[in-house]
Amino acid sequence: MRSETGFDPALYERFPTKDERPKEEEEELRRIWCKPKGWDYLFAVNNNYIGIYYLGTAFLFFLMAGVLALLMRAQLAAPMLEILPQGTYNQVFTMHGTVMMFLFAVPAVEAAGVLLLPQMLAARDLPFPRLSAYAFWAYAVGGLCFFASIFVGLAPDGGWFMYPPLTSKAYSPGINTDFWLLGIGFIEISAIAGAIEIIVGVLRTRAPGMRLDRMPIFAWAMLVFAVMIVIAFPSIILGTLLLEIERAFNWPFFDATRGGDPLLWQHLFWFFGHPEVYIIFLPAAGMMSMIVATVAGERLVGYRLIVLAMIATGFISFGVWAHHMFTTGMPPMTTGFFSAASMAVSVPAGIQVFSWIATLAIGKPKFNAPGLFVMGSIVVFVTGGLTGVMVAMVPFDWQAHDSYFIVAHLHYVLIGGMVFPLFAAFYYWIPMVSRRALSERLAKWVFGLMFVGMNVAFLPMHLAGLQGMPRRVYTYLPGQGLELPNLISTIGAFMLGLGVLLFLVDLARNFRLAPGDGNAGNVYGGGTLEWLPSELYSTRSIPVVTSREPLWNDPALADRVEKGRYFLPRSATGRRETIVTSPLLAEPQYLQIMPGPSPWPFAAAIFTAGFFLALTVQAYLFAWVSGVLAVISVLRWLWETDRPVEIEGVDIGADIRVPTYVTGPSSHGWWAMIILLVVMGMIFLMALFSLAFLSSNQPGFWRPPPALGRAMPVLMLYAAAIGLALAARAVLQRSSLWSVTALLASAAASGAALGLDYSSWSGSGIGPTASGQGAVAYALLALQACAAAIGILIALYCAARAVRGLVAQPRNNSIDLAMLFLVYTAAQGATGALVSRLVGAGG
Amino acid sequence: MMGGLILWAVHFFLLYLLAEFGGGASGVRVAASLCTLAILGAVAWLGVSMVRNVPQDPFGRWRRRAGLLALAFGGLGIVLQYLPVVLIDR
Repeated sequence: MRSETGFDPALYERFPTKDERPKEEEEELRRIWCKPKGWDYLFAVNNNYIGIYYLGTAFLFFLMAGVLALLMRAQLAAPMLEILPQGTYNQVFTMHGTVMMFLFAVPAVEAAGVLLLPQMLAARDLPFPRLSAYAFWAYAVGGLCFFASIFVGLAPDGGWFMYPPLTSKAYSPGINTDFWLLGIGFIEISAIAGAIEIIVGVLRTRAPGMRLDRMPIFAWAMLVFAVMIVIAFPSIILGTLLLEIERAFNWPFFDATRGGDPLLWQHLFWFFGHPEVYIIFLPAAGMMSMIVATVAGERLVGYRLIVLAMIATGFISFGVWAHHMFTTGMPPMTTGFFSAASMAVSVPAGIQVFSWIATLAIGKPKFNAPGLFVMGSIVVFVTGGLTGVMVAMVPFDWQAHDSYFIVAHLHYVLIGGMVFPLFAAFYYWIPMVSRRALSERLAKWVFGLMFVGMNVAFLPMHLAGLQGMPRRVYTYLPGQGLELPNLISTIGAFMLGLGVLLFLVDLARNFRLAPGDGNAGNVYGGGTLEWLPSELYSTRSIPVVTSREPLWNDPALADRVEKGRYFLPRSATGRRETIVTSPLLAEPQYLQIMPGPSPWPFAAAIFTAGFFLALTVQAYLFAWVSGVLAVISVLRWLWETDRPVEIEGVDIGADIRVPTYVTGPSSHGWWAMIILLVVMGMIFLMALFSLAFLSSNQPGFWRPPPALGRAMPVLMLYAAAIGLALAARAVLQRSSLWSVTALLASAAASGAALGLDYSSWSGSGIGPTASGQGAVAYALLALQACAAAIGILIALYCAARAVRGLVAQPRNNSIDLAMLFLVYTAAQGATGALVSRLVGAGG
Repeated sequence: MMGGLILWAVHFFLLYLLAEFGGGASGVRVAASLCTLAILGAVAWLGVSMVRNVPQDPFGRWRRRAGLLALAFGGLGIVLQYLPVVLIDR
C-alpha cells in the first residue's frame, strides 16, 4: 500500500505486542490526567469535563428556550388573550428563536463532538484542549449574560433574524438590539474556536490506521459541520459588526435613503442562516447513522454514499440562502437558481434517510430508547423535508412566506432533524459516561409524549398558516377559524414539555459521573472505539484500526487495548500527549505534548465576555480594560504552549519512534492557523461582496473612488510586508533576532500601507457616514486595521519570546504561525486596496 | 473526490454572479450557457481521467468511487441549475 508520510505500514504488524506492561504505567497515566479538585474544575481542559459542561449548558438553554415557547403557546391558546403584553411577546419569540439556534443547537452538537470525538478516534484528547475550554467558557458566560437580558426587559425584540430597518437605530432605539448583535457575534467566535478544534482533531488525531474510509460516520459529520461553520459564520460576524457600526456610528450600510440597502443584511444573514440548518442537521444525522447501525445490529448501508451525501449537503447548502428572500423582488432568473438548488439539496438528505431505512430493514431493529427516537426522527424529519420541497417552489413560497406554515415546516425539520436525534444520542451515549443506561420504561413515556406532543403542536400550524395566520403576532381575532388549530397546538406544546420534564426526572434519578474501572458501558453493543474501556486519559493504549467497526470485527480488542498492547501504553514524556497522524491514512507522524489545566483560558473568556457586555451597555472604559485583560490572558495561555523541545524522539510502542516537535505544514498548529485565516478571508470576502452589492443596487449614490494610481505605494508596501514575513522564516536558521526583526518590520510595513490607504480615501472626500459606498470602504479599512493590529501584537509576542530564549532554531512554530498571519494580512490589505478602487470606478 | 461538487459550486456562483451583476437578460443567458458548457466539459474531462486511472490501494479505490459518484451528482446538479436559464423567459 502507498504511504502518505513515508511510514511503513508493515510496522502495524508489530501490534498487538506480546510483553506484559507494568502496572505503574497505568498509574502514571492516571496521575498525569488526574481529576481536578475544588476550584480546579473551572480550569479543567480535558474533553471529558469540557464536553459535559458544554452539553449541560446547551441543554440548560434548551430548557429555558422551551419555557419561552410554552409562554408563547399559552398566550396563543385563545384569541385576544393578554398573558404576555405585546412588547414582551416580541422579546419572548425573539429570544426563543435566538437561544434555540445560537445557544442550544450549534453548541449542543459541538459539545457532542468535543465529548465523543477523542473517544471515537482513540485520541487522548482533542489537539487544542485550552481552546475548547475557552470556547466553552466564552459561550457559557456570554450566553447567560445574553439570556439574562430578558429578566430586565432589555432582550432583543426584532425576531431571530433581526432585519433592518426594524432593527436600525430609528426604529429600535434601545440597547435591546445591541444585546443581540454583540452577544451573538461573541458567541459565534466561540463556535468558530470549537470548529477549528474539531477540524484539526478529526484530521490529525485519529488512531493509527483509521484511514478516512474507516472513520466513524459521526466524525465525518463533525468534519463537514466544522468546515461549514468556518465558511458560514464569518458572514453573520460581518453582518452583526456592520449593523452595530451603523447603529453606533451612523454608517449607512443598510439605510436605503443613503446608498445602503436593507437587503444586504438579508444576504449576509441568510448566507449564514440557511447553512446553519444543515450545520445543525449534519452532526445529528451522523449520530443517527451511528445509532441506526447499532439498533439494527447491522453495518450501515451505503457508508460511502452517506459520506458523499453529507459533503454534498455541505456544498449545496451554500447555494440556497436566497430562498428566504423569494418575496423581496429578486430577478426571476436568480430566484430560479435558488429554487433549483433548494430542491437539489433534498437529494443528499434523501440518500441518508433511505440508507437508515435500508439498514433498519435488513437488520433486526430493537425498539429500545435510542431506537424509538431514531425511528420517530425519520418520520418527523421526512415530513418537514416534504414541506421544505413545497416552499422551495417560488409561487408556493409567495403564499406561505411569513405564515405559520413556515413555523410548522421549520419545527418539523429542526425537531426531526436535530432534537429527536439528540435525545436518541443522550440515551445511546449516556452509558459511556455514567456506565449505566437510563430507564427504558420511562424512555417509552418520554418518547411517546414528545412524539405525539410534537405532532399535535405543529401539524395544526400548517393549517393555521394556510388559513392566513402570520408569524410573530401576539394574538389574533376570533371568528377566523384560527381558534381550534391554536388550541390544539398549545395542548401539543405542553405535552412535548411534559415529555422533556420526564426526561429530566429520569436523568436526575439515573445519571451519575462514574469512573471507568474497565467498564465501557456498552449496553447497546456499539462497534466503534468510544466503547473501549476508558478513563480520563481515554483508552489505556491506542489501537491500530483495521475496520469501521473494530469492536464487532474483533471482540477481544478491548481486552488487548486495556492491557496496553498497542500504541502509547504509557506516557512517553511524562506529560499529557497524543499521537498526531496524517490526514488521509492516519499514519503516525509525531507525538503532541498537550497543554494541561490552566486558569488562563477561563480568564480570557471572562474578560472577552466583559468586553462585549460593557460595549453593549456603553461602559467604554470598562470595555477597554476588559479587552486588554483578555488579550493578556490569551498571550499568557499561549506562552506555555510552544515550549523548547526537551526530548527529540520517543518510542510510542513496539520500538516505533516519532519526534515530539515538528514545524511547517505537518504541525497541527499550522493547520489551525490556516483555518483561522480562512475564517478571516471569508469575513473579508463577504465585505467585498457587500461593496459589489451596494455598487450594483445603489449606483445613484456611487462616487468615483480614489484613483488606482494612488494605490501603487500602498501595494508596494504590502508586497514588502509579504517579503519580510517570508524572510523571517528563512533567516531563523541563522538568528532568532534577525527573524523577529523581520517580523516586526513586516507588521510595520502593513501598518504603514494601511495608513497610506486611509489617507488616500479620506482625501477623496468620501466619508463613512456619507453613503453606503463610504461606509463599506471604511469598513474594509477597519477590518484591515484589526488584522494589522493583531499582526503587530503577534510580532511583539515573538520578539518577547526571542528575548526570553524561547524561539528555537532552525525552525519554530511561533515564528511559522506569525509568518503565515503577516503574509495573509498583507495580501488582504493589497486586495482590499485594489478592489475598493475598482468597484464602481467606471460609474 | 470532491471535484464534481466543487465544479457544481463554481457553476452555481458564476450563474448567481452573472444574474445579480450581469445586466441584460439576453447577455446573461449567453454567458450562462457558455459557463455551463465549459463546466460540463470539465466534468467530462475529470470523469474520463478518473475512469482511466485506477489506483491499486484500497483507499485510493474508495476515493475514486466516491469521486465518480460526486461527479455524477455534480453533473446532474449543474444541468438542474442551468434549467432556469432556458425555462424562465424574463
